[in-house]
Amino acid sequence: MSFHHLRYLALLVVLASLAPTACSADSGGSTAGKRITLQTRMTTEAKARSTFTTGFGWDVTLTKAIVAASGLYYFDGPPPTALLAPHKPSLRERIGSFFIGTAYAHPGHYQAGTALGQVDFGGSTALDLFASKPRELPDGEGVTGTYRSARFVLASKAPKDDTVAGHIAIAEGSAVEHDGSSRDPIHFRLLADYDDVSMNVNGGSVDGCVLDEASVEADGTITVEVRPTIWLNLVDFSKLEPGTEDAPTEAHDPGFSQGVTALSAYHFSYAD
Amino acid sequence: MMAKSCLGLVCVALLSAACSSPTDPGQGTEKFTTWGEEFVEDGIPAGDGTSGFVDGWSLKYDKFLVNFHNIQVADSSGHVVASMDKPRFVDNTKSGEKDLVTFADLDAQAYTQVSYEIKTAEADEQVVGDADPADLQMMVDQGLSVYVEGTAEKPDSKDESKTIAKTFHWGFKTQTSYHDCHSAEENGVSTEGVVVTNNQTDTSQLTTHGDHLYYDSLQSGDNAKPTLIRFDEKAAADDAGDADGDITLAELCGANIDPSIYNTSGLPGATIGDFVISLARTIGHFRHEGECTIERIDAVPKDVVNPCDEYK
Repeated sequence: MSFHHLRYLALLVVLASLAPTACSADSGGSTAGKRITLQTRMTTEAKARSTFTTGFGWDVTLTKAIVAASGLYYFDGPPPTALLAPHKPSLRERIGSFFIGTAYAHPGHYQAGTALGQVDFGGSTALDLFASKPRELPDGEGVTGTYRSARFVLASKAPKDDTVAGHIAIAEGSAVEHDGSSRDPIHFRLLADYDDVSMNVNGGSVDGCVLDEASVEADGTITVEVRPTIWLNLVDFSKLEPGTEDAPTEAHDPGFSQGVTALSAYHFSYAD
Repeated sequence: MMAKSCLGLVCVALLSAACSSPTDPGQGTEKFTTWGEEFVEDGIPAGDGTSGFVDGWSLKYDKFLVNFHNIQVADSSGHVVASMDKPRFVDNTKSGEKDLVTFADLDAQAYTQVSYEIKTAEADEQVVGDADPADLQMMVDQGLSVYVEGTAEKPDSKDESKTIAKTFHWGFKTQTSYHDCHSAEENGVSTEGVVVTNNQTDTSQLTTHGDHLYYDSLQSGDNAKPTLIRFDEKAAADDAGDADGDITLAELCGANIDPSIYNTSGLPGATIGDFVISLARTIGHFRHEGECTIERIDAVPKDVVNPCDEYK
């Protein structure tokens, strides 16, 4: 429980002691704070498995994407983003837009609020986004309440296994210019180390991720969907040598390392 | 949040006990105003990135035109008890706080759901304060919801006796809902919506923030790098365009974002223009630094992928 919340509750107690009536159980207070177990699952956005177009106008086909994480946290503070009204996407949107209209962030004002739950992976854990099925992660613990936002914690060091070859995130694939003016495809292997992601966030902590608002009253499952299309959105592939399929061009790209730390790259939901 | 709701109930109970009989909480008034704060009225100075532009620019707005629609007050169940009759047209460069609408005779209680919209100008809007009706007509003709114009200046690094100046005239078509508004925290407490008290007038300012258009980041939270305001890249867009000294949205839409400087957090598009257009949706606040949930309410037009596509 945060210091901020403790202060808040203290004020509440003082006021309640002065009030002629106290809050009743009808307000939901009877169940607030009950301990629960939260199973944890990681999935990958479907559109990352087919060719997608980046913000810089490159059609990207990913063949590999892995990120190393160490834990997740859940909060009651609303995320600094708001969903747009649903609309039926046009063909071009389906092809070319992976993110239009999904969020409008309000910079600098996000307040996480009360921590409601967390899962500790027990160390740096590689999450293979191209695994054939969702990745089951260790169970987390939490308390009942309204869940609204989350923190995705990138690992401070690479996992002991060699799946990410000593890095924090990897994305491999090919890219061609969307308008057809491209040279040969760019075969890339983008890398992000902890130092790279630390250019954007402190402690590897990606704060303010959307957790679809849920009134959590019992054990359930938190699913985090990782969106590698966001990782690639601001990568300027024109700066990379073409490489080959067998020997892709390796690069630490600022757009990539920023994308790995983008709060929009991690979307959470709860199901009982 | 549950605790906050509980606190609201306690407050209402206290007020009820202190001010009226248990069965008649009385009635009060909720007034909505708007103000652009010093950044809009007086300008944005050079500074450290939070108090002013980090790259030496300063800026003065000549117009900051906003169309407020559908200000509403509702209770926790969503029952709307007050709603604005027609949109209001405001130029927040005009001095002082301006009245938008006053809702009298509301039952004295907490109303946790307050919302408003900033949408396209309409011809029959009520012109507030000293706003120019000709500006309203211009926005109606062009289908705009927000319009800003002004001049930015910076000392010329090559000749300190000279100043570089850039003008801008940017009209935005963004249609945005601001709902579930809550005040900024004071002493650890953030009030959701408003609290109307017996025989009193409570004032909620729908504050417009003039610095948001120049933010360099949308990441938030304790672990994110601080968001700074920048102008160099906007000025450079004109230099790379027709270099006539006026920065157009088209020029901004032709300037790619440098991810080593800007962090859009995955918002659509990859140009300065895309980012500025998205940021135009974030200008609306509640009671100075208070927040609302921001939601796009206009359908995405066919063939639109990035925000700039709507301005071609």
